[in-house]
Amino acid sequence: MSLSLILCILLNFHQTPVSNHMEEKRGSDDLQLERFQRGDEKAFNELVLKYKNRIFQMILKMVRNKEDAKDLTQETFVKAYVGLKDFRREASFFTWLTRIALNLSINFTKRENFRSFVSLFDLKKPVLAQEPSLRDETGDELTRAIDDAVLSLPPKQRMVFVLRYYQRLPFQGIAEVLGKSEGGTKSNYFQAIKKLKKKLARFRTG
Amino acid sequence: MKGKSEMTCTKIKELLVGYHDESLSIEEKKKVEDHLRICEGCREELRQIESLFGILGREKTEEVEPDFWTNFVPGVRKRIVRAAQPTFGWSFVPKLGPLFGFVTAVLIVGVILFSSDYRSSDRGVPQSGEDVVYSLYEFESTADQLAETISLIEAAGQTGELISEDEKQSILALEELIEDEYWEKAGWKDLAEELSLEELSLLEEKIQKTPI
Repeated sequence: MSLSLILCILLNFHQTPVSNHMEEKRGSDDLQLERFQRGDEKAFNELVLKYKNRIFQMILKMVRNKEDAKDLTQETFVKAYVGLKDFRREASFFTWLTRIALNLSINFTKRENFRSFVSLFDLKKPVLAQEPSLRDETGDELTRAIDDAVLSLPPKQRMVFVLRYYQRLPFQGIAEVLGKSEGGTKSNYFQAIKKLKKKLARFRTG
Repeated sequence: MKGKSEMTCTKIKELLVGYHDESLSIEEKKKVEDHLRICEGCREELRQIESLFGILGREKTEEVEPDFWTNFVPGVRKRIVRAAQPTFGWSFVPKLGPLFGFVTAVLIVGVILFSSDYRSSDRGVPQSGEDVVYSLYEFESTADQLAETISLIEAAGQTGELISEDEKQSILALEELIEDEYWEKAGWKDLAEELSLEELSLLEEKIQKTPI
């Protein structure tokens, strides 16, 4: 294992979600990207190791299911690998990777919602990974309620909420990822909080 | 005054989330704090927001098995190799879309044309006497009418139906009409070809005896 790879793992290990958004600024991954575009496959592995945890956490908060999140995290890097040869670096690598992850998550939840809808008309109802009966075994009532509340948010509000609350990204960074204005993302976040407040009101104490 | 106050509350409420996570500018923060001192409604709103983040903070975190991360990069690599392999899929369908569209259009036009031909050929074999009486007015010449009537007779014979006396009379009348129609169109040459030698010589005699 190369020295840079070990260094990368160590850096990744010590990263905290709050502080590292600055790191994703354009240019921080240039070295690996250049090496990869010259044909060095190990450079791609380094990028995977650097971002796998954050991408997994982001997808997990979007789809609210561990097994699906694991699968979608791998899929994100596969898509990144395929698209990376044509990556023009108009945005940072992390911004671009986040877009892939969010799109995959949104498409996945849309598909799952459609399947759940179709299964309503099916006598032999398929067991979905996100069904409450399965989640009963893994989480308590509050966690399930949060899952349901977050999943009920419209895609844009859910993306903004996940990026802001869980990933601690600044609104400017969120706006860049989503290709929206900063004011628009603030408004989406405010709307998301308003809806969550309503849906989780029964857990309020005092 | 009440309207103005409500508008201020609406704006302040939008800033309360930012106030809670300390992302407001100094000016905005001061504006919120000044308002909170005098507004119980917005203080209650802030309490609710704090309560929500308290609830969200109690969410259980999911633990991932360590071997998932150990095998993560090899797993991604395997999927990359699999993605690069040519597989049979339906991705060619959009490319062939125009061709499918053209074939479908040809089939639809074919079905329409065939069915219209079929319908018009049906008209040649009427199924009942009523059909014939109704359709007599549609034919262009007497010969067509007769052909139709003969079809009726054949069809009636096949199905065991009897021809009424009226229908027989109409057939005879049609035959006479055909004779007249034919001779109206025919010239002397056609007439001569129709006559036997005896009839022809008889006709010559009559012509010669006819006073001019």
